[in-house]
Amino acid sequence: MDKSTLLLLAVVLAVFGGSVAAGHPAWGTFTGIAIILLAAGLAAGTLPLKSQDYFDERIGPTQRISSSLITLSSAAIVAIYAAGYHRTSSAAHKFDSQTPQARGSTTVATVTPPPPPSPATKPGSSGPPAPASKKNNSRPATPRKGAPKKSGDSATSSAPSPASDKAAPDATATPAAAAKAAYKDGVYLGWGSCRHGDIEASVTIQDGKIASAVISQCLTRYSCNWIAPKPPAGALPDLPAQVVERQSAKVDYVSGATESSYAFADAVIAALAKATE
Amino acid sequence: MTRRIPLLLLVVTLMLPAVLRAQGTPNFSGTWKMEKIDPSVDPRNGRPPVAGGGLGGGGDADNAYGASIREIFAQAPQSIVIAQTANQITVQLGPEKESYTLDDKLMVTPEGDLNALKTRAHWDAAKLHLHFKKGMNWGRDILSLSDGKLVVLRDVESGGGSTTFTITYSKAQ
Repeated sequence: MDKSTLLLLAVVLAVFGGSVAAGHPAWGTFTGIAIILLAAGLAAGTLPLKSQDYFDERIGPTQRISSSLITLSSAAIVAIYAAGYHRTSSAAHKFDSQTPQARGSTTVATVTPPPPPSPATKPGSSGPPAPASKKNNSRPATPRKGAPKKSGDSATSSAPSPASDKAAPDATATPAAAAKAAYKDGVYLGWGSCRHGDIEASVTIQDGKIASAVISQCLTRYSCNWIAPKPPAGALPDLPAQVVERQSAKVDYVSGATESSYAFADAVIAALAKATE
Repeated sequence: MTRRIPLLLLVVTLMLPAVLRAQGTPNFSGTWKMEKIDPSVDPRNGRPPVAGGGLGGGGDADNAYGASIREIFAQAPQSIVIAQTANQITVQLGPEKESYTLDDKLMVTPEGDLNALKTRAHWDAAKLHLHFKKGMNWGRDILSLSDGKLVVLRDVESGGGSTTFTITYSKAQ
């Protein structure tokens, strides 16, 4: 292999290392730097050095064999790394997309205790709306088909119930995270599991935003109405609606249905991961 | 000749990940007999795990449905017969057969039945997750191979009981 080919290989390596370092700041910095260093070493080997004549004299014809071995070693390292990179890239993307949405993050840690089901909310619409019921009743009956509901956020944050007080930071904090994840339009399915069974979420992306989220399969032991109540919703949180409102998988955890809440959040995360692939 | 050796090494290096990946999806086919179970007793009641259900949730009923629940959601099946192809796997517990497609798609058997068996399977690296639900009973098996033995992490929630056991099976001769 001549020097120009080695130099070309070094340049390709340097670009690859740079892209790894820039594209995956969480874990790619050291790897990218390592690749760039490898490229630099390769490039340095192609440069004419003052001591070249000395080595040529000392080593003579074996210099070419040594270069071939170096090239072969470099190629092998790059090949193994590239294969591993390709093999794990989907998982890396998945983790990247999950990082801002992962449960247990600081904003999600504000677990919402479910508001006690008040009798006033059940009869529903005829009576004067109590503050606690205003939040849920203000939701459109078919939030899943509409565009992201923004006016409801303000109504939610002004509601005096504990749920709304703690949901408000999430609602305001998530647009930045949502804007970061540029979703591809389409309908995506994802599964989540818990000790009580499986939940499949169907998330529709329109114009790069979450237009709707529904539970497409509820295979939990208990009814999914605990986390996705049918209208009129009453006092129970509607997690699919929260996904649309917050443009994120960060949903409240429903006391009494904590595991199902986890499963639903995982299902949405899995679906959104597909939307970013 | 000396020029071909590096090229050959490069080709082998490039093929290595594909070979390793092919080895990543084991085949669980065979007839397996229980060798050991961990923990050895049900932590809820201190009794040995039951081989054939008994957790309730319809499994106590003396009819075909109850018998089916007892087999499928047994805490500790004594034997398993597995037939696996490239895109499907069938698990037989006693007379009960559960079929799964290996594409993470839900399978309902029979279709339209309120009490149908719903199954789903997906790979997690070299481990195969089998999810199954019937009525108000739910279970998940995580299958893996270790030293030629089948290791099943079995989560079962049935009739108000929720248990997790790690069961090791050896291949029947």
